[in-house]
Amino acid sequence: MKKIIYLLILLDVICINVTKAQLSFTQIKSEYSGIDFKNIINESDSLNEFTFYYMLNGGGVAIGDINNDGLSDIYFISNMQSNKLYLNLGNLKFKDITDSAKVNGGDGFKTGVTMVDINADGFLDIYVCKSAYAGSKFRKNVLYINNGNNTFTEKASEFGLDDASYSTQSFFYDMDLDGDLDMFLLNHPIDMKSANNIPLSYDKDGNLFAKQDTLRTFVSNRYYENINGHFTDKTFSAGLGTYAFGLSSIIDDFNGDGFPDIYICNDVKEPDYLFINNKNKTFTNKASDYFKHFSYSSMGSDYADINNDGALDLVALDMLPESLGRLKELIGPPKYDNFYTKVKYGLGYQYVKNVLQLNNGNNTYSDISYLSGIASTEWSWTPLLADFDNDGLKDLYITNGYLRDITNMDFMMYEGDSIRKEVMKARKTDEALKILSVIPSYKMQNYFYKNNGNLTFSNITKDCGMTVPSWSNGAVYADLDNDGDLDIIVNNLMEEPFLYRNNTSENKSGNFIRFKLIGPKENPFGIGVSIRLDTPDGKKQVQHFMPDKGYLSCNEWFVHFGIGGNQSANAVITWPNGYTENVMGIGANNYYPADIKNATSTLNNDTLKTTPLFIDITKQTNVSYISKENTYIDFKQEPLLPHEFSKMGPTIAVADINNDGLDDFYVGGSKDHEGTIFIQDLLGQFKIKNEQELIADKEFEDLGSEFFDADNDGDKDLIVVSGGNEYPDDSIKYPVRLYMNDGNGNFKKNSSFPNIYTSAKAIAIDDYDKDGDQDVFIGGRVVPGRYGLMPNSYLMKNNKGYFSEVANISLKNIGMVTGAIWCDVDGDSWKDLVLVGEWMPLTIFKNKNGVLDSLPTITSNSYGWWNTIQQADLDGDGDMDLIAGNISFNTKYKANEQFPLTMIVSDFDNNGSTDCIISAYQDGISYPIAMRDVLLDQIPTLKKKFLRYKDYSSATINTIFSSEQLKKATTLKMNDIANTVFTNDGYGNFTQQYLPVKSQIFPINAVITEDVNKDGIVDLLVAGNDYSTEVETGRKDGGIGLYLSGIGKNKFKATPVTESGFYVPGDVKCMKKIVIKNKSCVIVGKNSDAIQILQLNN
Amino acid sequence: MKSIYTMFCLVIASIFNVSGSTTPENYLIRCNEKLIDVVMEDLFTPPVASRVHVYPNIAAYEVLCIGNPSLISLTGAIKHLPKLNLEKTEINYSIAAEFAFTTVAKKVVFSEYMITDFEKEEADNWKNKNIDSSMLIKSIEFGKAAGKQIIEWMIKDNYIQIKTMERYVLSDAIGAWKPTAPEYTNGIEPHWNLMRSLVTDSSAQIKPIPNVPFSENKNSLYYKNAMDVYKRSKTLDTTKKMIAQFWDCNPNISYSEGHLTYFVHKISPGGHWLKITGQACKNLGFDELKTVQTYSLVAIGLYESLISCWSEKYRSQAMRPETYINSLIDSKWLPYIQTPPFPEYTSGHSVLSSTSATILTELIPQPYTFTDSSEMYINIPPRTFESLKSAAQEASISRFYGGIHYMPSLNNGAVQGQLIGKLVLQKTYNRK
Repeated sequence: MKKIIYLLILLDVICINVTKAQLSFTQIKSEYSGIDFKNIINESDSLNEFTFYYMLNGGGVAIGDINNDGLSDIYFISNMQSNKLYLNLGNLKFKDITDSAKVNGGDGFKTGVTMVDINADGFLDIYVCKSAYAGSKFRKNVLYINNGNNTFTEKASEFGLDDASYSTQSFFYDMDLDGDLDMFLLNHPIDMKSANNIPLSYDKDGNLFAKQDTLRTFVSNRYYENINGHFTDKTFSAGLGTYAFGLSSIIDDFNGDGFPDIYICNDVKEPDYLFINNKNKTFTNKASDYFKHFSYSSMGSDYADINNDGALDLVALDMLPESLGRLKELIGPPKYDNFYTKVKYGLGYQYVKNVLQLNNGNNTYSDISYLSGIASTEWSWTPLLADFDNDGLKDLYITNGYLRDITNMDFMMYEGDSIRKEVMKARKTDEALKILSVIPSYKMQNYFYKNNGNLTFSNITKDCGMTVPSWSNGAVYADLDNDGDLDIIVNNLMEEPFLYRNNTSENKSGNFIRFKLIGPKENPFGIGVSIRLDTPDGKKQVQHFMPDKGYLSCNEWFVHFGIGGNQSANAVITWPNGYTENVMGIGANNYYPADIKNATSTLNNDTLKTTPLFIDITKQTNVSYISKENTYIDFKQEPLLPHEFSKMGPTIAVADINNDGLDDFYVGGSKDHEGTIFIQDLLGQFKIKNEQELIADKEFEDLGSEFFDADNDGDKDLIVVSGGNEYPDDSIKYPVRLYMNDGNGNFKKNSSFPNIYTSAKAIAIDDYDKDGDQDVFIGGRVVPGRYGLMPNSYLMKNNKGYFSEVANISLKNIGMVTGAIWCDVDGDSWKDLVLVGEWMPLTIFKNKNGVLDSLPTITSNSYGWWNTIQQADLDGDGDMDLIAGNISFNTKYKANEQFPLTMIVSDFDNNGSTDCIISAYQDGISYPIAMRDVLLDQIPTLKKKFLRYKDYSSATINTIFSSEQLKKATTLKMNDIANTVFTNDGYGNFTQQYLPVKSQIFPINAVITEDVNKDGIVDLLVAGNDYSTEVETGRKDGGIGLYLSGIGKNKFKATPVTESGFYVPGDVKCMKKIVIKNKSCVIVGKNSDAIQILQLNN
Repeated sequence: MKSIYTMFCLVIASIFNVSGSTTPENYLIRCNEKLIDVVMEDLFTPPVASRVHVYPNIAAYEVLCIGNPSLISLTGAIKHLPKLNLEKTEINYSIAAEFAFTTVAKKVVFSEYMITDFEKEEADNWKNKNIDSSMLIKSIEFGKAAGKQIIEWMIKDNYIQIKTMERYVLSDAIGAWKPTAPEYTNGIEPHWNLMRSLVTDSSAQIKPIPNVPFSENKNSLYYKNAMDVYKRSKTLDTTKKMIAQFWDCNPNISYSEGHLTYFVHKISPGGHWLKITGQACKNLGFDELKTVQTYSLVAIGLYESLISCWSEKYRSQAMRPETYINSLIDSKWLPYIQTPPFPEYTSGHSVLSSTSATILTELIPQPYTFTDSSEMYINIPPRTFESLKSAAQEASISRFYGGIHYMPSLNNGAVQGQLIGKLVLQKTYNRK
């Protein structure tokens, strides 16, 4: 019974529901379509992947109706041969008119292409970018002006656009809102040696910083302002000079101020840029204000609203393989120092993975790529976010493939050298081509993801008929056969392009509305228009029209909306000049011509100012405390750790410690920093109170703290547990300390408290034996330096102020406890001990008349990486339900009952260090997740077994170790990763319910239960993140706090931050309620960050 | 690809056979040459390579001691080395020594199969020399037994423990070493000072004089030393470039072009000196005992050099010229050869070359002029040297030309190496 509910919820939240997906595509071959072009690369000794590293990046494709006959025509880039223009004859038949139209692209190495009506004559012109060749005349971009009769004339220099940079792609957009289209040109340097070097310099204060390479001709991105039809280079006055390997760009209004901004995906070391438009023809890169991290080798990108909340979301692609085996062969080990060297010198947090940056609506984004399931799609180029099945949700198509697996680790470490020596020995000269020829080469399938409508996507590549493997680069969507669905065109390397006919209209599975824009004279095709579409089912969709996106390519010149079963829709069309047109009742399956002539100047009407529920009052309280960490790096001691244990603070405890009726608080200090007491005054401001006894204990890292009356004298005493991982060999650095209050808020350490040493975090206090004084449970968190072993936990019975340990063998080594509460789960009036932890299930020691059971009751499908637990009667049925924070779905390795994550623990090589190896399932088999070099770093003797990366890529625990070794090992498991509500049936039996999907974006470290909106139903405030993960998976930084309002039956509604004001970003570790100036507030502790205080505003 | 190395060795082997002589010492050269190839294949770092080279040679040495009382066991020189617990018996001690060597070699390398293949070829070689098969088997078994005893002693050298001690943590101290382009690899083997030494009392017994104090001041000696490196890099002539390349024995060098990176496998600096050793043994027609002695003492010297040098490197944690010059002089500058991933002071090349030359000069009749063709495997032409000492000096200065060391590292490193060489000789060859 429990299991069924569990599965149903699972389906609801991470739906892989293929039955609904009727979406299918049919590949139309050249025999029918007439598109028989191939983008063939011929490498030579002088031009090859060594001499030009972007040799195999492929070409773009552009869509546009060049003869205004109502049919979209196609222009393909051929990197090294003639480009091709195919005239659409209808019915998916095409005619090659390249020669007669005179648009073959000319000499040189062609890359990106866009169409634009540059001379505003109503006919689309073609602009082609070039790169590679040393001679600048071979790199001059070309502009084909449409003569209106299916012929073109090259006029780049006439328009000032014969730029000879090493160009990737061009973007035409009205950047300064003066009505005409300006151009942003994306370029790249040619010195690949600089791609990963960090040139250091001292600044005037004597600090080292990474010096930006000097800006260079032909290398920096370019910005051309359109001045009366002529393009003038304004790159440097606009502040857009750069030295980065740009691969794609998105021009859109990222901060909602009406002015277009520029997002740039940069390859290799430079992080992506977001140049915010300063509204005065200058731009400033503010990417790190908006985004917490980036993909490392950012390639193609798209920007569209995936969850129909009106805020556009960003997808940027990288090169992470989906299969664990290929990952181990292709991706090198995570390099901690390399990573943090880049962070230190301003290159930001960059990870080898796709990102899906969910727009939080407040100019911040959270990467949900792991949650959404789109993080790893091989070496990827184009993302296309569009509604392919006309259900009102944007799906995601991704092209990928690279001719050679040049990151193959065996090639890099071994075979590359062998072949090089062979070539040298034979004294051959064609070294480069020979070396390149030994690199493994595989074609991969592109990916098609259907949007499930809940922030997740399902991979339906196979079901929709897109399984042909390829090396695919630029790709676009366009309704080529005018049947109301979006077809897909892909420029492949070495082979014919893909032309995929969308069968949605044939299957009559969804309605559509398409907008054709008729703009003002200088922007006749309406680039930059925003359309909001409201359908009767209550769905609101927003699209911004910018055909030039994805990778090197230009999409169709319509705005396409799928509207599912709706028969009509209302639209608001907003032009770049702010004019709007409201259209009511556009019928389904229609084209609507949106003409600027019908748009009128409007006042901003829908910006009703709502007062958010929470406001940040940190400044007003005078609390300017920042928790500081020492620089201990756990991975240096234990390379196989999934995350660090030395960065888990701070802890905060709240109480009125000086009996003046005002809440005060304690914040724990990290190693070498003392814990600090803050006293509230009548103005609601706080002052630090120095405590000698706390200062004396500053060598300990405080991870747990509580105020309670230990000696029944009417004041609050302070218990603090020491934690962390900094002293791997010195257990006495982890004492539990009890500080006694003298009644006036002065503390003195209680020397009679027993000497307990354990690296701990959780504390639970209650009079569990009902003898009139408060007892204490202390949960051990980790064995320092020996992850995987079980730390000691302690149940301390209070006997009139004197504490003694209660013996309970199974409780003592119960696991890596993170959260503990006393809670009467079975209604017998005795408080039971409820525990959660890392690799632990929900664990309850039932209290029988003041004595805890010797064995715990566990919920078997709840083995999680829990962070915290809270209790409340959420459903109002009189018993206590539980809310527990877990690692969340936004994480790399998923786990469930059938396919748990496991960790095997032993000293396999008998060298005295504890080895812990985590394995995850893939295709029904469990493989270790560690990269070869990391595992060999921990267990060097295994190197003999895995001389090559390939040998290791398919190894399982059973092939790595002998059965004898495995017998001595212990295994831990995790089968639940969700942030969860445990609903109590009143007898202590619990069923699990996932919290809403928006609360699965981040690990919940802190939960507050409170009826925030005073509707009689308990609401939740949750927050968390984890910045201490290993550098391959990357920081969990998507959390910005979340207000979940209870709507009954243990269901919750996630309230957007724009409404709640509950904005709690950062590495949140704890939250506590506190009353300040008689108002309910929340105090938030974050690792290596400032304390934040929010006030509930009602 | 692997077969190239095998073929290369077969060629050497056949040359020896053609000469008609059964000079038994040649097997020691073949063994060491093979091991150098395996070290190159397995990408061992210089300190680890020195460990790989020393134990197999000691094993061969100790076996030959049993058969030839004129060779004095190293047990006295290396205090913790136990005497082989094997009775003198009727076997071929050359074969036993060879298989003692390979038995230990297999234990210390990763690519065991390369040694196993080599053993098969060698067994065939011995068979071809009219050794009857029961004698062959008996001798091989003797060698294996000896090898196992050496392994038992070897594994107590702390290696497996230090390999999993805390990986190097970057220091924030002013002037501290920073990882360098293009890989920004972390400092390798930071705990090598904890390796059990052989003839020295501890890693701290021989210390170089302290490094020049770090300073960013333009009038400081440190700045001047960096400027010397920088200026020299601007005026490198063909000969100096050739010297820098000839001695660029960096087993960790990566060749990087954006996404496309691959590692070039080169012999370790110690391997280079073992090649010089082999050439000398061959050129001078050393007999088996002299050969094993020469190899073993050079290998011990290398092992001690690396312990001493690495202890100093992580004691002083000096910044590489690349980092200093990039930050204070020229942010675009890159050294002529790639900077290896460990602190600067003192130069490993200077220390171990000086140690090796000191030892070899004592063991080899002087004067000794020679042509070193160790780098032919990567098409770098041979160089001729007036003496071992001049070769060591050139190896040392090559690191300055290459732009990866300051001068004091070379000079003080050479003194350090000389002291180590003398100590090794005093404890072994010249012991009373």
